[in-house]
Amino acid sequence: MNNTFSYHRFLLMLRKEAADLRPQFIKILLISFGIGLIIFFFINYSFGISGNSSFEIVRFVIGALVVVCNILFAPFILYKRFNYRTTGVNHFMLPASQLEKWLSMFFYCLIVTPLLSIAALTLADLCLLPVYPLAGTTLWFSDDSVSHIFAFMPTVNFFIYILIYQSLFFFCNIWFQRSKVQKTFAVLIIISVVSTLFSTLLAGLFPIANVEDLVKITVENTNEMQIATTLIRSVYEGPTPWPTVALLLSVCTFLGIYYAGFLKWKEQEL
Amino acid sequence: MVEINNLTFRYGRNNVFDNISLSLGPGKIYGLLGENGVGKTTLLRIIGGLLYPKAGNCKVFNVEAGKRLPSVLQEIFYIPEDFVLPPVNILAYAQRNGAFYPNFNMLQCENYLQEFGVPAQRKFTELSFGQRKKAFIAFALATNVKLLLLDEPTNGLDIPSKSQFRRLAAQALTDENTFVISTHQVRDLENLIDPIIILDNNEVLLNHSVEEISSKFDFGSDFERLFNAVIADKAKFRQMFN
Repeated sequence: MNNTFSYHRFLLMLRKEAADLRPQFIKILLISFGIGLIIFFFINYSFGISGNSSFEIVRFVIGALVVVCNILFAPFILYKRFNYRTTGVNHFMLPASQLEKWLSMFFYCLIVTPLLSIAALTLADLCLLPVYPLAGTTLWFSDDSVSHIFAFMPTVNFFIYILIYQSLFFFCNIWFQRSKVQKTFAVLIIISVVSTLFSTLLAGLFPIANVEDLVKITVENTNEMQIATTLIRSVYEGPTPWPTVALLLSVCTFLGIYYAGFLKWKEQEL
Repeated sequence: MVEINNLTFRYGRNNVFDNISLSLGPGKIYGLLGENGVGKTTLLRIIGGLLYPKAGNCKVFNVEAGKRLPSVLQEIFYIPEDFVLPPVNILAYAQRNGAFYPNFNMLQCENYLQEFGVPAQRKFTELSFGQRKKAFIAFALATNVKLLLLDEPTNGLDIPSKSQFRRLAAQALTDENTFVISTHQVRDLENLIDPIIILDNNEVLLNHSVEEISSKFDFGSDFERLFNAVIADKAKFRQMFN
């Protein structure tokens, strides 16, 4: 018997999880659908910009935000209780390999959840279409929808940022047993503070962008600030070889966090 | 079937087991007894691979339990004292989860459910705690695993269900499988459990068959009397059985 991966067992695992997680999937669908409708009504009636391009952009951005939030919070929504003493026993004692269980979690958090969110947002648009013909010119079903999607298509960097954050949320869901969301945000705050300090120190290494320039935000030094920001950006996103190095580092970061999560999860005690 | 060698386990600074060794063979229903907090549930969880020993090892079917290999897990089933089951229909649950166990028998599961009087088409969330427990026990017995670990299985069961449980457990036992039942309700399981394991602080006080114990100490098949006598004079029983 293959104790590492069996295609048959993996399919059984997916089927079992699909049934067990159905209430959570319905929750994701309903919330995304509700937000889809709320966004439309809120923007339409508050700002009255329905039908113009700004309306479409705002809808797209908020819609994308809903999808991103669902991806980030998927581990908490779907697998919050998997490492609780009472609820986790079934998960850990199920005769499937650690890899199969891990991949199944991955599949539902990273593939199924965003698809469900997009489906719900699309459904919200479909429901609006007959009532508000103008909705036909909005994001998901407009004549120019393809061009819009391409115009606002997130970059590779965007997806990598999402994966870095998602891997962190995934990891925290495994690492913490109680108050997971709160502790995850605490971790994010700590990481932000540390990385800000680190980048401030890094910026100090450059002659134009010294620490004072970054800290003193006054009218006089706005120009220098912009120069410093541009310089930092040119270092981070600028010409070769930095983009490739930055990209590789980012990919290694989220893969590393996912792997660390896997190791922690393998050793989880209940 | 289960080999525990020089096992040490602690929660933080609280030592639960200190260098204990134990061997569990097939074809028996072990009764795991002990006062509150001596580590009955911990021992079951270590055997199930849910907790890791701090020292020594626990092997199930010659494999380290903590590895949680599918080939081992498909021959173990653990029923904790408190459990949460998904909000799904019992039969659908049995079908989906039973597929992971090679010897699972759906017909057997339906029969056990019927004997326990649990409506098979209902969702777990629609059942009382006792009914949920009976449904879970029915599923566990139908998996026909070689090692069944039960933590306080009779807690929450009504009187007729307790005797049904005894009958079904005795029926389900074969020469190839082993049940380990941790309990405080020794009277509920009299005539079912044999051998008896009594745990005390950090150690195994007793691990012998009822026949062996009876030959040295007359307790008239009253397990509660035996347990009280062991706890009252541990040194005497240590000397008697070692």
